[in-house]
Amino acid sequence: MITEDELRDRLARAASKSDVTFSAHEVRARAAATGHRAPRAGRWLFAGIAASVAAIAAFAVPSVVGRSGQIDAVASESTTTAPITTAPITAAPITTSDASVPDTPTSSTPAEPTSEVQMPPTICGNELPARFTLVSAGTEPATSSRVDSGRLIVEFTDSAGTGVSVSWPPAPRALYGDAPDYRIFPNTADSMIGPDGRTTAQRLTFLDTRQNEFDVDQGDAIGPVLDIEEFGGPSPLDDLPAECGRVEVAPLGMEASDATEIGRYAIDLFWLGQEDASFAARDARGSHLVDLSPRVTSSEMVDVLPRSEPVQCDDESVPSESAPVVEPQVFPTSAEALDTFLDTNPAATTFIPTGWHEMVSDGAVGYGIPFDDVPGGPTSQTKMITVVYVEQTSDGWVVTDWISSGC
Amino acid sequence: MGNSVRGATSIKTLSFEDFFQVEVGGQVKRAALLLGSTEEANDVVQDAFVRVYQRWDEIDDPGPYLNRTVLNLCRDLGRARTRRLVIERMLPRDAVSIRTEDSLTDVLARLPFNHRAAIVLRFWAGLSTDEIADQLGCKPGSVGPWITRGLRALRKELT
Repeated sequence: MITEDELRDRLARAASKSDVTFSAHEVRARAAATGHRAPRAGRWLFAGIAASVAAIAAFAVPSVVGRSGQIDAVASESTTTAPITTAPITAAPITTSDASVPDTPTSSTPAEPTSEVQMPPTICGNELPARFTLVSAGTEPATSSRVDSGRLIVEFTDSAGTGVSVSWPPAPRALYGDAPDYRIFPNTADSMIGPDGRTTAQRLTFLDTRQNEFDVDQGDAIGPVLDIEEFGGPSPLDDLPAECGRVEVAPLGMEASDATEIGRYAIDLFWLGQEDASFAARDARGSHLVDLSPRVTSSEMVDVLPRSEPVQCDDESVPSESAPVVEPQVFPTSAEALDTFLDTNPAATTFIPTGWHEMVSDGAVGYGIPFDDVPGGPTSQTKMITVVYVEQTSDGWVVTDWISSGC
Repeated sequence: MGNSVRGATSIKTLSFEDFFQVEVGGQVKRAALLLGSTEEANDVVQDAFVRVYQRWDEIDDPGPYLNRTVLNLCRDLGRARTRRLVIERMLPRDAVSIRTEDSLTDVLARLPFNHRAAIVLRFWAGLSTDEIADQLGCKPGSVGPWITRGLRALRKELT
């Protein structure tokens, strides 16, 4: 077993192999290429950066600590199937609750709402299956709960109106859409066993990459930090539909006057059973975080669908793969055919789930994952990692076959 | 070492060129350990230095700013990991440049970023728990569990 001293030695050896390959002159040249003027000696201006940092820090970690999922007094049925609120979250009814004494769900039966208000029926239950806490210091916690098309939606907000929306189960996935100009990423997926040996708290940090565009230090731009505590014992998910094994987390915009959804992520709920450190391992690669950005993010009209070989593996002994789809299902649209194929066909389990490029021909559509861009050329001309072919029949659209790199 | 990677105070008393010379080696080494690639480490650290240079007039203590920028850029690289993993398998093997005989960097690369960073900052940079927490922007209480789990994973895979 490696000792700490051995680890230090091996880290030192590994680090010693890393040489610097650029100079201060190159740094200055790159800065100059962006139109930056050389620093002026003796010029010390702090006000701008200090104001920026302060402004960002103000929204960096919203000051909310909320007990999640408990529908205390408010319930409403939305008649729209639109994604989780894009309206200012202050428009939603707000209740407050105490996060200091969490209740541990121990029954597979969802808790009855404590409110006297009649709850619309929900798909999964009236209370989120884990405790969610939006972490920060300061202001009084505030949450609101509502039901939208059977989905329980709980929003956590701070006094500035920023926060996180949680939907159980997730909203239906979008098939089409533009790739967003900015996105948030689940930056950290960490977990730890609670002091009772039965709970696990995993912390998700969302990084708002919009700050990149304005060259604001990301260290100051960490978005809402969400703790999710899951509990040991009997799983309350056992008797529920499969879709209830996920929640969807949607960080909301940072300013109260502009509270919009800026990303959505589905999180698989793993139940611990008993004391089980393997949760951390399962969680370690972040594999339970699924980007819910649209399947198809670009489209192009083509005369003929590309049928060239996909990108060759570095190891040339690994062949590309292709196969027809036997007894394909029929769907009203080509995109729905792709969506179901990716979700259900065993061959598609290793395919990249999002960012597909649509190539539309007469009566046929190809969906490809491009390997690289062709400067100035259409995407359909580039090498593809994977292409799924969909054809129109008299009954609808079916996936006929696919090709993919074998590695 | 005397640079901010290892926690030394770095109030701006140096010229940019001197600051670069003091910092660059340690920053690249740390980034290489975090990324498993010397090539990517140089790219990330160069990007960070460009940002520091562009703000040199405005920053009173560039060491922590550089530290934070490098760590954040390393962290960001993980965001496209799923896609990159697919593509990397198609690239020539020499594209990944830092390889040790014991694949320490491979094992490190499989750790969650905060676990990996905590291990590197503790056992390579020699930082205290509070210093690690400061660099990673987390509570000190988070650092211990990250190190414990990181060590556990390393010991399991480096036997």
